Amino acid sequence: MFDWLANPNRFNRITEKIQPCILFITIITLISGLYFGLFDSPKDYQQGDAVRIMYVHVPSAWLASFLYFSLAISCVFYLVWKHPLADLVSSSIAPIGALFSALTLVTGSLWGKPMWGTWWVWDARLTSMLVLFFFYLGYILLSNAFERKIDGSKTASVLAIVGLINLPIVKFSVDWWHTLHQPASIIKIGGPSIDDKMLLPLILMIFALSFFSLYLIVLNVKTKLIEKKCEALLLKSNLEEISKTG
Amino acid sequence: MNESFWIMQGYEIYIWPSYVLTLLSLGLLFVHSTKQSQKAKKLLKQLSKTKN
Repeated sequence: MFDWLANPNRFNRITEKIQPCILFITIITLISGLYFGLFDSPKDYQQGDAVRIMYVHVPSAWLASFLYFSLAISCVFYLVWKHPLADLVSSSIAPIGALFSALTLVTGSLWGKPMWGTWWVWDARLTSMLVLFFFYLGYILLSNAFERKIDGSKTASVLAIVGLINLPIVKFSVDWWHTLHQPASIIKIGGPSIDDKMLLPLILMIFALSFFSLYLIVLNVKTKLIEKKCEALLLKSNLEEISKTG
Repeated sequence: MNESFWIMQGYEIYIWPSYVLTLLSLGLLFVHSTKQSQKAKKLLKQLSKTKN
């Protein structure tokens, strides 16, 4: 199955067909998520309209964690099975995940100020999300820090796998420690504890940002495949020139 | 659209920047990735032409 997916030509052929569908689903879910989130969902009985920040904050946080998990899995495939597309997938995921973790921190801060009276606290959830952001940055910096690309990819992959330990801390920090951040209200035992009218835009926005990420990851992987082809062509023409002059 | 929608019970200075920042970042990332892709395709075309 993975060998089947590893073929770059097959990857290009399949994604060529599904990319427009992914973009279409992204646009539809984003527009409807924004509509329901801003116009149709009720105010919170305590937070009032400030609760609407949830529709951009929670999907960003969810994506930041999920993309990190995908990044680490892709790194395992790269290190263990030398999967040809795995390194390209990891390096395509990293900037998108970093952006979502940065958005989580900023929108969380914008939500925290009116609700908690402060932009930032060194609370377990906030701190572990900041650490996740640093893991993303570390991956990006390390993968570009070496002269030989392969050395950077290997070192960055090891860091990404080590960073997996932070994911359960992000998720369960609100249960393990007393935090200012509220406990989980969607993925928890007993089902979601928020109103259906709030759950709908939240799910739509999660879908929108997930499909958006998928679209960008596919696009970035394809770009990297083309760049690799260009490098090979350049190398070939350089070698031909050397052999002619030699 | 009435004025109260924009004011958001006085939380507008927190809510609107959250949405604008999120959508702007996603838009910029989309434009950047699309441009990179077009640039790579153009380069490949040029190299293939030179080779032929």
